Amino acid sequence: MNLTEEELLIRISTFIVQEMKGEQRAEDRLLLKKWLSESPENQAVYKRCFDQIMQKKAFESLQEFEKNRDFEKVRSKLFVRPVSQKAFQFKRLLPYVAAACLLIAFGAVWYSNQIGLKIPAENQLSQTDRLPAKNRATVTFSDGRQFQLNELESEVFISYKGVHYDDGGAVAETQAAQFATIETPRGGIYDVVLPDGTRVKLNAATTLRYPTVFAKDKREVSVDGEAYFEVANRQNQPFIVETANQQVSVLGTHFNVNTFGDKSEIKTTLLEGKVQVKELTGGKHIVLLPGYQSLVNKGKLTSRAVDVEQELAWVDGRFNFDGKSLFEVMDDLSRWYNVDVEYRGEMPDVEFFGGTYRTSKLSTILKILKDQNLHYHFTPNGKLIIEKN
Amino acid sequence: MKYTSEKELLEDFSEGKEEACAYIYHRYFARICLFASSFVYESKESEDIAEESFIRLWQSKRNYESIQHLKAALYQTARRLGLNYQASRQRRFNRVDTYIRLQDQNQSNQLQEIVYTETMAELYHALNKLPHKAREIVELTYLEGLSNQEVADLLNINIQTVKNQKLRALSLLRKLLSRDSFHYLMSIVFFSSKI
Repeated sequence: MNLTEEELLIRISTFIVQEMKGEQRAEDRLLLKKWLSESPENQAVYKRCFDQIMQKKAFESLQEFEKNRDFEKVRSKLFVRPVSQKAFQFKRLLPYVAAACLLIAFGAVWYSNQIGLKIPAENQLSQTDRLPAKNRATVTFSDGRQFQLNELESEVFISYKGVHYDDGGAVAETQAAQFATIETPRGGIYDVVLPDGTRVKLNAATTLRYPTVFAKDKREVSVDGEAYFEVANRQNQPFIVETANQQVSVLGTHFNVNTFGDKSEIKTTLLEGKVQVKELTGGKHIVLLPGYQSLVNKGKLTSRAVDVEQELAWVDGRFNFDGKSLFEVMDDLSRWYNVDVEYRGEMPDVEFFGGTYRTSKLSTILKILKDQNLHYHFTPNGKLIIEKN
Repeated sequence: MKYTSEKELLEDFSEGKEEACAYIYHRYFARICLFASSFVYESKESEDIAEESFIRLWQSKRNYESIQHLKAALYQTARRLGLNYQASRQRRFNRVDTYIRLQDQNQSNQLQEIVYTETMAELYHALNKLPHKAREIVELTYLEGLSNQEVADLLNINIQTVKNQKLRALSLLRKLLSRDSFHYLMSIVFFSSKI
Protein backbone atom coordinates (compact mmCIF):
# COMPACT_ATOMS: atom_id res chain seq x y z
CA MET A 1 0.00 0.00 0.00
CA ASN A 2 1.42 3.30 -1.04
CA LEU A 3 0.56 6.10 1.35
CA THR A 4 2.92 8.79 0.24
CA GLU A 5 0.31 10.94 -1.51
CA GLU A 6 -2.14 10.96 1.39
CA GLU A 7 0.62 11.50 3.91
CA LEU A 8 1.99 14.40 1.94
CA LEU A 9 -1.43 16.05 1.82
CA ILE A 10 -1.90 15.66 5.55
CA ARG A 11 1.47 17.31 6.03
CA ILE A 12 0.50 20.13 3.72
CA SER A 13 -2.59 20.74 5.81
CA THR A 14 -0.52 21.01 8.98
CA PHE A 15 1.58 23.65 7.22
CA ILE A 16 -1.58 25.57 6.44
CA VAL A 17 -2.79 25.34 10.02
CA GLN A 18 0.62 26.51 11.18
CA GLU A 19 0.37 29.41 8.82
CA MET A 20 -3.02 30.34 10.24
CA LYS A 21 -1.56 30.18 13.70
CA GLY A 22 1.40 32.25 12.57
CA GLU A 23 3.84 29.59 13.62
CA GLN A 24 5.10 28.43 10.28
CA ARG A 25 8.72 27.46 10.04
CA ALA A 26 10.71 28.72 7.07
CA GLU A 27 11.36 25.28 5.60
CA ASP A 28 7.67 24.37 5.90
CA ARG A 29 6.78 27.58 4.13
CA LEU A 30 9.06 26.57 1.27
CA LEU A 31 7.53 23.13 1.01
CA LEU A 32 4.06 24.63 1.00
CA LYS A 33 5.04 27.12 -1.70
CA LYS A 34 6.48 24.37 -3.80
CA TRP A 35 3.31 22.33 -3.46
CA LEU A 36 1.18 25.35 -4.37
CA SER A 37 3.21 25.94 -7.50
CA GLU A 38 2.58 22.39 -8.68
CA SER A 39 -1.00 22.86 -9.83
CA PRO A 40 -3.87 25.34 -9.93
CA GLU A 41 -5.97 22.72 -8.09
CA ASN A 42 -3.57 22.89 -5.19
CA GLN A 43 -3.89 26.64 -5.11
CA ALA A 44 -7.67 26.39 -5.25
CA VAL A 45 -7.88 24.10 -2.28
CA TYR A 46 -5.49 26.33 -0.35
CA LYS A 47 -7.69 29.32 -1.06
CA ARG A 48 -10.71 27.39 0.04
CA CYS A 49 -9.11 26.77 3.42
CA PHE A 50 -9.12 30.51 4.04
CA ASP A 51 -12.56 31.15 2.63
CA GLN A 52 -15.00 32.29 5.27
CA ILE A 53 -18.02 30.59 3.75
CA MET A 54 -16.18 27.33 3.22
CA GLN A 55 -14.94 27.38 6.80
CA LYS A 56 -18.41 27.93 8.12
CA LYS A 57 -19.75 25.14 5.94
CA ALA A 58 -17.07 22.74 7.12
CA PHE A 59 -17.61 23.56 10.80
CA GLU A 60 -21.32 23.05 10.45
CA SER A 61 -20.83 19.70 8.76
CA LEU A 62 -18.27 18.57 11.32
CA GLN A 63 -20.63 19.51 14.10
CA GLU A 64 -23.47 17.64 12.47
CA PHE A 65 -21.35 14.54 11.92
CA GLU A 66 -20.17 14.63 15.50
CA LYS A 67 -23.76 14.45 16.63
CA ASN A 68 -24.16 11.22 14.73
CA ARG A 69 -20.92 9.76 15.98
CA ASP A 70 -21.72 6.50 17.70
CA PHE A 71 -18.98 4.00 18.35
CA GLU A 72 -21.57 1.35 19.09
CA LYS A 73 -22.43 1.20 15.39
CA VAL A 74 -18.89 0.28 14.47
CA ARG A 75 -18.31 -1.90 17.48
CA SER A 76 -21.35 -4.04 16.81
CA LYS A 77 -19.94 -4.86 13.41
CA LEU A 78 -16.47 -5.61 14.64
CA PHE A 79 -17.18 -7.79 17.58
CA VAL A 80 -19.36 -10.80 17.20
CA ARG A 81 -20.82 -11.84 20.49
CA PRO A 82 -23.03 -14.70 21.53
CA VAL A 83 -26.49 -13.66 22.63
CA SER A 84 -25.89 -14.74 26.21
CA GLN A 85 -23.36 -11.96 26.73
CA LYS A 86 -25.35 -9.16 25.31
CA ALA A 87 -29.06 -8.66 25.05
CA PHE A 88 -30.61 -7.83 21.74
CA GLN A 89 -30.48 -4.08 21.70
CA PHE A 90 -30.93 -2.64 18.34
CA LYS A 91 -33.19 -4.01 15.76
CA ARG A 92 -32.90 -0.87 13.76
CA LEU A 93 -35.22 -0.41 10.89
CA LEU A 94 -33.64 -0.62 7.53
CA PRO A 95 -32.73 2.72 6.04
CA TYR A 96 -33.08 1.56 2.49
CA VAL A 97 -36.76 2.18 2.16
CA ALA A 98 -36.19 3.55 -1.30
CA ALA A 99 -35.36 0.21 -2.77
CA ALA A 100 -38.05 -2.36 -2.96
CA CYS A 101 -36.58 -5.69 -2.16
CA LEU A 102 -37.81 -9.17 -1.93
CA LEU A 103 -36.03 -12.09 -0.47
CA ILE A 104 -36.94 -15.60 -1.33
CA ALA A 105 -35.38 -18.53 0.39
CA PHE A 106 -36.04 -22.04 -0.61
CA GLY A 107 -34.38 -25.11 0.66
CA ALA A 108 -31.65 -27.01 -1.03
CA VAL A 109 -29.87 -29.36 1.29
CA TRP A 110 -28.96 -31.58 -1.60
CA TYR A 111 -27.64 -28.60 -3.40
CA SER A 112 -24.65 -27.81 -1.27
CA ASN A 113 -23.59 -31.44 -1.42
CA GLN A 114 -23.78 -31.42 -5.17
CA ILE A 115 -21.85 -28.19 -5.55
CA GLY A 116 -19.36 -29.12 -2.89
CA LEU A 117 -18.08 -31.98 -4.97
CA LYS A 118 -17.21 -29.76 -7.89
CA ILE A 119 -15.17 -27.08 -6.28
CA PRO A 120 -12.38 -28.28 -3.99
CA ALA A 121 -9.94 -29.03 -6.77
CA GLU A 122 -9.74 -25.45 -7.99
CA ASN A 123 -10.01 -23.71 -4.64
CA GLN A 124 -6.87 -23.87 -2.56
CA LEU A 125 -7.99 -25.76 0.50
CA SER A 126 -5.98 -24.44 3.37
CA GLN A 127 -5.80 -26.52 6.47
CA THR A 128 -5.95 -23.51 8.75
CA ASP A 129 -8.17 -20.89 7.22
CA ARG A 130 -10.35 -19.84 4.30
CA LEU A 131 -10.58 -16.65 2.30
CA PRO A 132 -13.98 -15.11 1.57
CA ALA A 133 -15.88 -15.59 -1.67
CA LYS A 134 -14.39 -14.15 -4.87
CA ASN A 135 -15.87 -13.10 -8.18
CA ARG A 136 -16.35 -16.44 -9.78
CA ALA A 137 -19.09 -17.89 -11.97
CA THR A 138 -19.71 -20.06 -14.98
CA VAL A 139 -21.97 -19.32 -17.94
CA THR A 140 -23.52 -22.35 -19.60
CA PHE A 141 -25.59 -22.12 -22.76
CA SER A 142 -28.32 -24.65 -23.48
CA ASP A 143 -26.25 -25.97 -26.36
CA GLY A 144 -23.65 -27.10 -23.86
CA ARG A 145 -20.99 -24.44 -24.31
CA GLN A 146 -19.46 -23.33 -21.01
CA PHE A 147 -17.41 -20.26 -20.06
CA GLN A 148 -15.68 -19.24 -16.85
CA LEU A 149 -16.17 -15.59 -15.91
CA ASN A 150 -13.15 -13.45 -15.13
CA GLU A 151 -12.25 -13.12 -11.45
CA LEU A 152 -11.07 -9.59 -12.05
CA GLU A 153 -14.52 -8.50 -13.18
CA SER A 154 -17.49 -8.43 -10.87
CA GLU A 155 -20.43 -8.19 -13.21
CA VAL A 156 -21.54 -9.31 -16.64
CA PHE A 157 -24.07 -7.82 -19.02
CA ILE A 158 -26.44 -10.03 -20.93
CA SER A 159 -27.67 -8.98 -24.34
CA TYR A 160 -29.52 -10.89 -27.02
CA LYS A 161 -26.20 -11.34 -28.73
CA GLY A 162 -24.32 -12.77 -25.82
CA VAL A 163 -22.52 -12.07 -22.56
CA HIS A 164 -20.00 -9.28 -22.06
CA TYR A 165 -18.21 -7.27 -19.37
CA ASP A 166 -18.45 -3.63 -18.36
CA ASP A 167 -15.85 -2.52 -20.87
CA GLY A 168 -17.53 -4.38 -23.73
CA GLY A 169 -15.12 -7.33 -23.61
CA ALA A 170 -17.07 -10.36 -24.83
CA VAL A 171 -17.41 -13.53 -22.79
CA ALA A 172 -19.40 -15.53 -25.31
CA GLU A 173 -21.97 -15.26 -28.05
CA THR A 174 -25.46 -16.64 -27.70
CA GLN A 175 -25.45 -18.30 -31.14
CA ALA A 176 -28.53 -20.56 -31.39
CA ALA A 177 -28.88 -21.25 -27.66
CA GLN A 178 -32.35 -20.57 -26.22
CA PHE A 179 -31.42 -20.59 -22.56
CA ALA A 180 -28.37 -19.95 -20.47
CA THR A 181 -27.44 -20.33 -16.83
CA ILE A 182 -25.00 -18.38 -14.74
CA GLU A 183 -23.81 -20.35 -11.79
CA THR A 184 -21.65 -19.27 -8.87
CA PRO A 185 -19.84 -22.02 -6.99
CA ARG A 186 -19.50 -22.12 -3.26
CA GLY A 187 -17.04 -19.35 -2.45
CA GLY A 188 -18.04 -17.41 -5.58
CA ILE A 189 -20.25 -14.39 -6.29
CA TYR A 190 -21.15 -12.40 -9.39
CA ASP A 191 -23.50 -9.66 -10.57
CA VAL A 192 -25.55 -10.00 -13.73
CA VAL A 193 -27.35 -7.34 -15.74
CA LEU A 194 -30.15 -8.81 -17.86
CA PRO A 195 -31.06 -7.42 -21.33
CA ASP A 196 -33.99 -5.41 -19.91
CA GLY A 197 -31.65 -3.66 -17.46
CA THR A 198 -32.65 -5.76 -14.46
CA ARG A 199 -29.72 -6.25 -12.12
CA VAL A 200 -29.21 -9.53 -10.34
CA LYS A 201 -26.69 -10.06 -7.58
CA LEU A 202 -25.86 -13.74 -7.15
CA ASN A 203 -24.78 -15.03 -3.77
CA ALA A 204 -22.47 -18.03 -3.46
CA ALA A 205 -23.70 -21.42 -4.73
CA THR A 206 -26.47 -19.94 -6.82
CA THR A 207 -27.80 -20.63 -10.29
CA LEU A 208 -29.71 -18.16 -12.42
CA ARG A 209 -31.42 -19.51 -15.53
CA TYR A 210 -32.69 -17.12 -18.18
CA PRO A 211 -33.99 -17.24 -21.75
CA THR A 212 -31.63 -15.65 -24.25
CA VAL A 213 -34.66 -13.71 -25.51
CA PHE A 214 -37.47 -12.69 -23.15
CA ALA A 215 -41.05 -13.49 -24.18
CA LYS A 216 -43.14 -10.48 -25.27
CA ASP A 217 -45.61 -10.75 -22.40
CA LYS A 218 -43.30 -11.74 -19.57
CA ARG A 219 -39.71 -11.85 -18.39
CA GLU A 220 -39.22 -15.21 -16.79
CA VAL A 221 -36.11 -16.45 -15.01
CA SER A 222 -35.47 -19.12 -12.42
CA VAL A 223 -33.19 -19.14 -9.44
CA ASP A 224 -31.73 -21.75 -7.19
CA GLY A 225 -29.68 -20.36 -4.36
CA GLU A 226 -29.82 -16.72 -3.36
CA ALA A 227 -30.05 -13.65 -5.54
CA TYR A 228 -30.96 -10.01 -5.13
CA PHE A 229 -32.96 -8.47 -7.96
CA GLU A 230 -33.40 -4.87 -9.02
CA VAL A 231 -36.07 -5.27 -11.62
CA ALA A 232 -36.38 -2.76 -14.43
CA ASN A 233 -39.90 -1.42 -14.71
CA ARG A 234 -41.83 -2.66 -17.75
CA GLN A 235 -45.54 -2.09 -17.73
CA ASN A 236 -46.89 -4.98 -19.75
CA GLN A 237 -44.10 -7.45 -19.24
CA PRO A 238 -44.08 -8.74 -15.66
CA PHE A 239 -40.91 -10.13 -14.20
CA ILE A 240 -41.33 -13.66 -12.89
CA VAL A 241 -38.92 -15.62 -10.74
CA GLU A 242 -39.54 -19.32 -10.59
CA THR A 243 -38.18 -21.71 -8.06
CA ALA A 244 -38.85 -25.38 -7.40
CA ASN A 245 -42.42 -24.98 -6.19
CA GLN A 246 -43.02 -21.28 -6.10
CA GLN A 247 -43.50 -18.41 -8.49
CA VAL A 248 -43.03 -14.72 -7.74
CA SER A 249 -44.41 -12.09 -10.08
CA VAL A 250 -43.22 -8.52 -10.01
CA LEU A 251 -44.27 -5.63 -12.14
CA GLY A 252 -41.12 -3.64 -11.63
CA THR A 253 -39.34 -3.41 -8.33
CA HIS A 254 -36.18 -4.45 -6.54
CA PHE A 255 -36.07 -7.80 -4.92
CA ASN A 256 -33.88 -10.55 -3.65
CA VAL A 257 -34.10 -14.30 -4.06
CA ASN A 258 -32.55 -16.85 -1.76
CA THR A 259 -32.86 -20.60 -1.91
CA PHE A 260 -31.08 -21.73 1.22
CA GLY A 261 -33.09 -22.90 4.16
CA ASP A 262 -34.22 -26.03 5.85
CA LYS A 263 -35.46 -28.87 3.73
CA SER A 264 -37.79 -27.57 1.07
CA GLU A 265 -38.89 -24.26 2.52
CA ILE A 266 -38.96 -21.10 0.46
CA LYS A 267 -38.77 -17.69 2.05
CA THR A 268 -39.77 -14.54 0.20
CA THR A 269 -39.20 -11.18 1.85
CA LEU A 270 -40.34 -7.87 0.50
CA LEU A 271 -38.81 -4.54 1.41
CA GLU A 272 -40.91 -2.27 -0.72
CA GLY A 273 -43.18 -2.50 -3.70
CA LYS A 274 -45.64 -5.25 -4.39
CA VAL A 275 -45.20 -8.83 -5.43
CA GLN A 276 -47.41 -11.81 -5.73
CA VAL A 277 -46.17 -15.13 -4.37
CA LYS A 278 -47.76 -18.28 -5.70
CA GLU A 279 -47.33 -21.75 -4.31
CA LEU A 280 -47.32 -24.06 -7.31
CA THR A 281 -48.57 -27.39 -5.98
CA GLY A 282 -51.74 -26.06 -4.35
CA GLY A 283 -51.99 -22.92 -6.49
CA LYS A 284 -52.62 -20.65 -3.51
CA HIS A 285 -51.21 -17.13 -3.76
CA ILE A 286 -50.73 -14.06 -1.58
CA VAL A 287 -49.70 -10.48 -2.18
CA LEU A 288 -46.76 -9.55 0.01
CA LEU A 289 -46.50 -6.24 1.83
CA PRO A 290 -43.16 -4.54 2.53
CA GLY A 291 -41.43 -5.88 5.61
CA TYR A 292 -43.23 -9.19 5.34
CA GLN A 293 -41.89 -12.57 4.45
CA SER A 294 -43.80 -15.45 2.97
CA LEU A 295 -42.97 -19.03 3.70
CA VAL A 296 -43.72 -21.97 1.47
CA ASN A 297 -43.26 -25.24 3.26
CA LYS A 298 -44.73 -28.61 2.35
CA GLY A 299 -47.36 -27.06 0.13
CA LYS A 300 -48.40 -24.48 2.73
CA LEU A 301 -48.11 -20.74 2.15
CA THR A 302 -47.91 -18.38 5.14
CA SER A 303 -46.50 -14.92 5.85
CA ARG A 304 -45.09 -12.97 8.78
CA ALA A 305 -43.29 -9.69 9.58
CA VAL A 306 -39.49 -9.95 9.58
CA ASP A 307 -36.29 -8.00 10.21
CA VAL A 308 -35.47 -7.08 6.64
CA GLU A 309 -32.06 -5.74 7.52
CA GLN A 310 -31.01 -9.16 8.65
CA GLU A 311 -32.47 -10.84 5.60
CA LEU A 312 -30.59 -8.51 3.30
CA ALA A 313 -27.31 -8.30 5.18
CA TRP A 314 -25.56 -10.28 2.46
CA VAL A 315 -26.44 -7.72 -0.20
CA ASP A 316 -24.56 -5.18 1.90
CA GLY A 317 -21.64 -7.55 2.25
CA ARG A 318 -22.36 -8.41 5.85
CA PHE A 319 -23.08 -11.47 7.90
CA ASN A 320 -25.85 -10.95 10.41
CA PHE A 321 -25.99 -13.67 13.00
CA ASP A 322 -28.67 -12.17 15.24
CA GLY A 323 -30.70 -14.93 16.78
CA LYS A 324 -29.29 -17.59 14.50
CA SER A 325 -28.45 -21.10 15.61
CA LEU A 326 -25.04 -22.68 15.25
CA PHE A 327 -26.23 -24.70 12.28
CA GLU A 328 -27.71 -21.70 10.50
CA VAL A 329 -24.53 -19.71 10.98
CA MET A 330 -22.31 -22.55 9.81
CA ASP A 331 -24.54 -23.23 6.83
CA ASP A 332 -24.04 -19.67 5.62
CA LEU A 333 -20.29 -19.81 6.29
CA SER A 334 -19.88 -23.11 4.48
CA ARG A 335 -21.21 -21.59 1.25
CA TRP A 336 -19.31 -18.35 1.51
CA TYR A 337 -15.98 -19.94 2.39
CA ASN A 338 -16.54 -23.12 0.44
CA VAL A 339 -15.93 -25.43 3.30
CA ASP A 340 -17.66 -28.61 4.43
CA VAL A 341 -18.53 -28.71 8.09
CA GLU A 342 -18.67 -31.72 10.35
CA TYR A 343 -19.93 -31.68 13.93
CA ARG A 344 -18.41 -34.03 16.46
CA GLY A 345 -20.43 -34.71 19.59
CA GLU A 346 -23.55 -32.96 20.73
CA MET A 347 -23.75 -29.29 19.80
CA PRO A 348 -25.09 -26.72 22.26
CA ASP A 349 -28.40 -25.05 21.49
CA VAL A 350 -27.21 -21.44 21.27
CA GLU A 351 -28.16 -18.22 19.59
CA PHE A 352 -25.58 -15.86 18.16
CA PHE A 353 -25.59 -12.12 18.17
CA GLY A 354 -23.97 -9.51 15.97
CA GLY A 355 -22.27 -9.90 12.66
CA THR A 356 -19.29 -8.95 10.65
CA TYR A 357 -18.11 -8.26 7.14
CA ARG A 358 -18.11 -10.88 4.47
CA THR A 359 -14.60 -9.82 3.54
CA SER A 360 -13.27 -11.29 6.78
CA LYS A 361 -11.21 -14.41 6.80
CA LEU A 362 -13.02 -17.46 8.09
CA SER A 363 -10.74 -17.75 11.13
CA THR A 364 -11.78 -14.27 12.25
CA ILE A 365 -15.42 -15.26 12.32
CA LEU A 366 -14.83 -18.64 13.89
CA LYS A 367 -13.70 -16.85 17.03
CA ILE A 368 -17.37 -16.76 17.93
CA LEU A 369 -17.19 -20.46 18.63
CA LYS A 370 -14.80 -19.94 21.52
CA ASP A 371 -17.44 -18.21 23.59
CA GLN A 372 -19.65 -21.23 23.19
CA ASN A 373 -16.93 -23.57 24.40
CA LEU A 374 -16.49 -25.00 20.97
CA HIS A 375 -13.30 -25.37 19.05
CA TYR A 376 -12.47 -26.19 15.48
CA HIS A 377 -9.76 -27.52 13.24
CA PHE A 378 -9.35 -28.43 9.61
CA THR A 379 -8.71 -31.97 8.47
CA PRO A 380 -5.93 -32.65 5.94
CA ASN A 381 -8.49 -32.66 3.12
CA GLY A 382 -9.84 -29.28 4.19
CA LYS A 383 -12.96 -30.21 6.10
CA LEU A 384 -13.88 -28.04 9.06
CA ILE A 385 -14.43 -30.04 12.24
CA ILE A 386 -16.33 -28.49 15.13
CA GLU A 387 -16.08 -30.08 18.55
CA LYS A 388 -16.98 -29.37 22.14
CA ASN A 389 -14.06 -28.44 24.37
CA MET B 1 -10.66 6.43 26.89
CA LYS B 2 -7.90 8.98 27.30
CA TYR B 3 -4.59 8.64 25.53
CA THR B 4 -1.76 11.00 26.18
CA SER B 5 0.92 9.33 24.15
CA GLU B 6 0.76 8.54 20.47
CA LYS B 7 2.97 5.53 20.96
CA GLU B 8 0.69 4.02 23.54
CA LEU B 9 -2.34 4.61 21.34
CA LEU B 10 -0.73 2.98 18.32
CA GLU B 11 0.49 0.04 20.35
CA ASP B 12 -2.94 -0.58 21.77
CA PHE B 13 -4.41 -0.20 18.34
CA SER B 14 -2.12 -2.78 16.79
CA GLU B 15 -3.02 -5.15 19.59
CA GLY B 16 -6.65 -4.71 18.72
CA LYS B 17 -7.68 -3.02 21.94
CA GLU B 18 -11.19 -1.70 21.86
CA GLU B 19 -10.38 1.55 23.71
CA ALA B 20 -7.80 2.45 21.11
CA CYS B 21 -10.26 1.87 18.31
CA ALA B 22 -12.91 3.86 20.15
CA TYR B 23 -10.47 6.72 20.69
CA ILE B 24 -9.45 6.85 17.04
CA TYR B 25 -13.05 6.60 15.93
CA HIS B 26 -14.07 9.39 18.26
CA ARG B 27 -11.24 11.62 17.19
CA TYR B 28 -11.52 11.24 13.42
CA PHE B 29 -15.06 10.18 12.62
CA ALA B 30 -16.43 13.65 11.81
CA ARG B 31 -13.59 14.60 9.50
CA ILE B 32 -13.72 11.34 7.57
CA CYS B 33 -17.45 11.99 7.13
CA LEU B 34 -16.65 15.45 5.85
CA PHE B 35 -14.11 14.02 3.45
CA ALA B 36 -16.53 11.32 2.28
CA SER B 37 -19.20 13.93 1.67
CA SER B 38 -17.26 15.11 -1.36
CA PHE B 39 -18.15 11.82 -3.05
CA VAL B 40 -21.82 11.50 -2.18
CA TYR B 41 -24.96 13.60 -1.92
CA GLU B 42 -26.44 12.41 1.35
CA SER B 43 -24.80 12.86 4.71
CA LYS B 44 -26.06 9.42 5.69
CA GLU B 45 -23.97 8.00 2.87
CA SER B 46 -20.90 9.87 4.08
CA GLU B 47 -21.40 8.35 7.49
CA ASP B 48 -21.71 4.89 5.99
CA ILE B 49 -18.43 5.37 4.15
CA ALA B 50 -16.72 6.68 7.28
CA GLU B 51 -18.02 3.79 9.35
CA GLU B 52 -16.83 1.30 6.80
CA SER B 53 -13.43 2.98 6.65
CA PHE B 54 -12.96 2.61 10.38
CA ILE B 55 -14.04 -0.99 10.24
CA ARG B 56 -11.52 -1.70 7.50
CA LEU B 57 -8.78 0.16 9.32
CA TRP B 58 -9.52 -1.94 12.35
CA GLN B 59 -9.62 -5.15 10.37
CA SER B 60 -6.38 -4.37 8.58
CA LYS B 61 -4.57 -5.09 11.86
CA ARG B 62 -1.53 -3.20 10.67
CA ASN B 63 1.16 -1.52 12.66
CA TYR B 64 1.15 2.19 12.01
CA GLU B 65 4.34 4.10 12.61
CA SER B 66 2.57 7.30 13.44
CA ILE B 67 -0.83 8.88 13.72
CA GLN B 68 -0.20 10.59 10.38
CA HIS B 69 0.40 7.21 8.84
CA LEU B 70 -2.81 5.86 10.32
CA LYS B 71 -4.76 8.91 9.20
CA ALA B 72 -3.37 8.52 5.71
CA ALA B 73 -4.60 4.93 5.62
CA LEU B 74 -7.99 6.10 6.81
CA TYR B 75 -8.23 8.74 4.08
CA GLN B 76 -7.04 6.29 1.50
CA THR B 77 -9.70 3.76 2.44
CA ALA B 78 -12.43 6.39 2.59
CA ARG B 79 -11.43 7.71 -0.79
CA ARG B 80 -11.47 4.28 -2.36
CA LEU B 81 -14.89 3.58 -0.89
CA GLY B 82 -16.10 6.97 -2.03
CA LEU B 83 -14.94 6.35 -5.57
CA ASN B 84 -16.61 2.94 -5.58
CA TYR B 85 -19.75 4.58 -4.35
CA GLN B 86 -19.64 7.10 -7.14
CA ALA B 87 -18.91 4.41 -9.67
CA SER B 88 -21.85 2.27 -8.66
CA ARG B 89 -24.14 5.27 -8.65
CA GLN B 90 -22.96 6.32 -12.08
CA ARG B 91 -23.40 2.81 -13.28
CA ARG B 92 -26.98 2.90 -12.21
CA PHE B 93 -27.76 6.07 -14.07
CA ASN B 94 -25.35 6.31 -16.94
CA ARG B 95 -23.93 4.20 -19.64
CA VAL B 96 -20.94 2.27 -18.54
CA ASP B 97 -18.34 4.08 -20.58
CA THR B 98 -19.24 7.52 -19.27
CA TYR B 99 -18.92 6.70 -15.61
CA ILE B 100 -15.35 5.59 -15.94
CA ARG B 101 -14.50 8.87 -17.57
CA LEU B 102 -16.26 10.86 -14.89
CA GLN B 103 -14.40 8.96 -12.25
CA ASP B 104 -11.06 9.83 -13.81
CA GLN B 105 -11.95 13.48 -13.97
CA ASN B 106 -12.88 13.72 -10.33
CA GLN B 107 -9.98 11.82 -8.95
CA SER B 108 -7.34 14.48 -8.56
CA ASN B 109 -9.71 16.94 -6.92
CA GLN B 110 -10.89 14.52 -4.35
CA LEU B 111 -7.38 13.69 -3.30
CA GLN B 112 -6.87 17.35 -2.50
CA GLU B 113 -10.00 17.34 -0.42
CA ILE B 114 -7.75 15.82 2.22
CA VAL B 115 -6.04 19.18 2.62
CA TYR B 116 -9.30 21.04 3.05
CA THR B 117 -10.74 18.43 5.41
CA GLU B 118 -7.67 18.20 7.61
CA THR B 119 -7.25 21.95 7.86
CA MET B 120 -10.89 22.51 8.73
CA ALA B 121 -10.92 19.64 11.23
CA GLU B 122 -7.86 21.00 13.03
CA LEU B 123 -9.35 24.49 13.25
CA TYR B 124 -12.59 23.04 14.48
CA HIS B 125 -10.68 21.06 17.06
CA ALA B 126 -9.01 24.23 18.32
CA LEU B 127 -12.35 26.00 18.60
CA ASN B 128 -13.67 23.12 20.62
CA LYS B 129 -10.91 23.52 23.15
CA LEU B 130 -12.51 26.74 24.30
CA PRO B 131 -14.27 26.65 27.67
CA HIS B 132 -17.87 25.61 27.46
CA LYS B 133 -19.53 28.98 27.86
CA ALA B 134 -17.23 30.78 25.44
CA ARG B 135 -17.58 28.03 22.92
CA GLU B 136 -21.34 28.01 23.17
CA ILE B 137 -21.45 31.70 22.41
CA VAL B 138 -19.00 31.36 19.54
CA GLU B 139 -21.09 28.59 18.07
CA LEU B 140 -24.32 30.47 18.37
CA THR B 141 -22.98 33.68 16.91
CA TYR B 142 -20.72 32.19 14.34
CA LEU B 143 -22.11 28.84 13.31
CA GLU B 144 -25.76 29.61 13.93
CA GLY B 145 -25.39 33.21 12.85
CA LEU B 146 -27.35 34.66 15.74
CA SER B 147 -26.97 38.26 16.82
CA ASN B 148 -25.73 39.19 20.29
CA GLN B 149 -29.26 40.03 21.32
CA GLU B 150 -30.59 36.71 20.06
CA VAL B 151 -27.88 34.82 21.93
CA ALA B 152 -28.63 36.77 25.08
CA ASP B 153 -32.32 35.94 24.77
CA LEU B 154 -31.65 32.31 24.01
CA LEU B 155 -29.26 31.75 26.90
CA ASN B 156 -31.26 34.04 29.13
CA ILE B 157 -28.25 36.20 29.92
CA ASN B 158 -27.40 39.87 29.69
CA ILE B 159 -26.26 41.16 26.32
CA GLN B 160 -23.18 42.61 27.99
CA THR B 161 -22.32 39.12 29.23
CA VAL B 162 -22.47 37.87 25.66
CA LYS B 163 -20.08 40.58 24.52
CA ASN B 164 -17.75 39.90 27.43
CA GLN B 165 -17.76 36.19 26.75
CA LYS B 166 -16.94 36.78 23.12
CA LEU B 167 -13.99 38.95 24.03
CA ARG B 168 -12.84 36.36 26.49
CA ALA B 169 -13.12 33.64 23.87
CA LEU B 170 -11.16 35.79 21.48
CA SER B 171 -8.24 36.23 23.84
CA LEU B 172 -8.31 32.55 24.76
CA LEU B 173 -8.20 31.56 21.14
CA ARG B 174 -5.33 33.94 20.62
CA LYS B 175 -3.49 32.20 23.40
CA LEU B 176 -4.38 28.80 22.06
CA LEU B 177 -3.33 29.50 18.55
CA SER B 178 -1.24 32.67 18.92
CA ARG B 179 0.31 35.20 16.54
CA ASP B 180 -1.12 37.54 14.03
CA SER B 181 -1.70 35.60 10.83
CA PHE B 182 -4.34 33.73 12.71
CA HIS B 183 -6.45 36.79 11.94
CA TYR B 184 -8.10 34.87 9.11
CA LEU B 185 -9.94 32.77 11.61
CA MET B 186 -10.30 35.60 14.07
CA SER B 187 -11.98 37.75 11.53
CA ILE B 188 -14.53 35.19 10.55
CA VAL B 189 -15.34 34.14 14.07
CA PHE B 190 -15.51 37.43 15.78
CA PHE B 191 -16.08 40.13 13.28
CA SER B 192 -18.65 38.46 11.12
CA SER B 193 -21.24 39.36 13.68
CA LYS B 194 -20.79 42.73 15.28
CA ILE B 195 -19.52 42.70 18.83
